[in-house]
Amino acid sequence: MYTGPVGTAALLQQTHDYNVHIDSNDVFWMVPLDHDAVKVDFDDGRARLRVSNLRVFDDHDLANSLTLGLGLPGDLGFPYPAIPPVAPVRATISFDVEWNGIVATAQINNSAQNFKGTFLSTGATIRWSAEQPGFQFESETPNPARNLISVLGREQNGVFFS
Amino acid sequence: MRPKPAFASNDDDCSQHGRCALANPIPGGITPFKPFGVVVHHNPLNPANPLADINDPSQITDFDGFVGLTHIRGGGTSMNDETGATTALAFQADMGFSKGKFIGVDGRRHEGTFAFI
Repeated sequence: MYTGPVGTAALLQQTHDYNVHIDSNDVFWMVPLDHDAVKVDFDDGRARLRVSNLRVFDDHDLANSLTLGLGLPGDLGFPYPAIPPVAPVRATISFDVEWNGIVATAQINNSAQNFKGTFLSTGATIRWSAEQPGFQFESETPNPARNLISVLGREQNGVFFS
Repeated sequence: MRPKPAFASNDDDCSQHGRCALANPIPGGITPFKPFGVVVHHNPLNPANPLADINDPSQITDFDGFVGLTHIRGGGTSMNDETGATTALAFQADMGFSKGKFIGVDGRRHEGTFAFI
């Protein structure tokens, strides 16, 4: 979340960053769900991801999320602003994300990254909310115009790429 | 602090997370705050790139299934529970899912559903 106007996402204006942290297997910010939390109708370019009351961390901002709470020094000549360290706090989020409407289709066979498949650029909306001690947030009514880019794919990678 | 890892159960069911197996990350990714930040095994979507030029949108390797990613910027309202004061805030949601088969760190085939948050 950001204190700037809608459509912006400036690091220095960020006040909340929700994620599930990276675990020992190094998979980035993924959490297992029940199978029915995700429904996919790929041929129609539709999918839905719904989760209620998921326990997450609020790392305050992306810099603290990716430096494990150390922030950024800002005085070493690197092209980043100084971001003070912030310890994560527990939060709960709920979200309903919908992919809907095929904008473009591409067949990709990328041997450099070992993945292939059919990919769709689609419309998308989200409704979500967050709660933590002293604070709660409710997103606006889902608005297709807020989508910058969304993709659905039916893919194979790694050992399934051949 | 560590969350529950990305697990999937043996062969066909991940509804019981405690019985699930770990997935492996894709080999590539980015380091947004190099040299300070951790390596991120994720390829963010870029609205400026054509669909045909996207990088692997999956965060899990040895994977065969459906993936979804979104990059949405919107708005909403926050409330301070103590004062009742409300504030308009912007948000950016980079989220997604993976649903399908994969080879876990145990070398066995599993099936699972995951949210990217």
